[in-house]
Amino acid sequence: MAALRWTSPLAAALLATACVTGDYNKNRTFQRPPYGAYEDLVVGVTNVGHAIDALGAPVSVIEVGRGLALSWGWLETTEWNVAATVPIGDANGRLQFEDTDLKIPGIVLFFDEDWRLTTKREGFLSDLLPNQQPPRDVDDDLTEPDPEP
Amino acid sequence: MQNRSSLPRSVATVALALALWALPSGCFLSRSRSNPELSPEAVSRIVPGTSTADDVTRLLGAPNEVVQLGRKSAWLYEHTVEKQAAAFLVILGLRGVDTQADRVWVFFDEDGGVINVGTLFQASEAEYDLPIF
Repeated sequence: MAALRWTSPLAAALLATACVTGDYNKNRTFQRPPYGAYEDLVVGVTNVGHAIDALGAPVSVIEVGRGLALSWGWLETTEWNVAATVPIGDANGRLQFEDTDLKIPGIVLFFDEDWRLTTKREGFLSDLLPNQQPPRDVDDDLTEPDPEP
Repeated sequence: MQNRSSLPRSVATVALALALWALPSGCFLSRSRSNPELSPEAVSRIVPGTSTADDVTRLLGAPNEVVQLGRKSAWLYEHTVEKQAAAFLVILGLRGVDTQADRVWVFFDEDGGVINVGTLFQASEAEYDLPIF
């Protein structure tokens, strides 16, 4: 009887193994720049050199108009996945639950053509970053009107 | 007497149950890297206002990415380390992934002179982190 008491839950556990599985995942990608460094950046005063000295090398650099945008992103997520497979006739039915909401937090700094800070934003990178454009034609720089003789 | 003989049997049953439970379990550690390591010493020899694109290429090699910024440009050098730890406990999988990077951005003026260098050295901080809760 004692053996039966132990083997019954074991049999139930092994049976459950066949149809229910779970995953717990933890993911860390890069790190947030030092706290306070972002707050110390001053629009109209800070330039690209100051910004990268304070926040470190950005994740991305993109051209925006005649200026540029630097972005820093980091990610720390935990997620649960639970799946159940149920035999239905000759086939298997599978139900899956995923607790995933992947939005990357970050900082984006916009600089003008003199590389001086014009805008700083903090939030989710997908909301902050402009759509990337192909590099602009640098010959546009030459089309400015000639100075007065 | 009966109690004395049932004790070893239940211990054996528990041991058997644990052995069967552990049998299909597994675990692994993995480490992957991308791109060559960046030497802080080599990076420190890039001096804004003095170094040129040739100097940077000589010190760090070909960049991973080049971004055109009008007539200026920026070069990216990045080395990443990913450490992963996982354990499988019959019906439950636990997995932790940590990715960290050494990253250097070098900004050039229109003549190829270095104007700014941004650095970050965190690849060595990647950890094997199995999520235990």
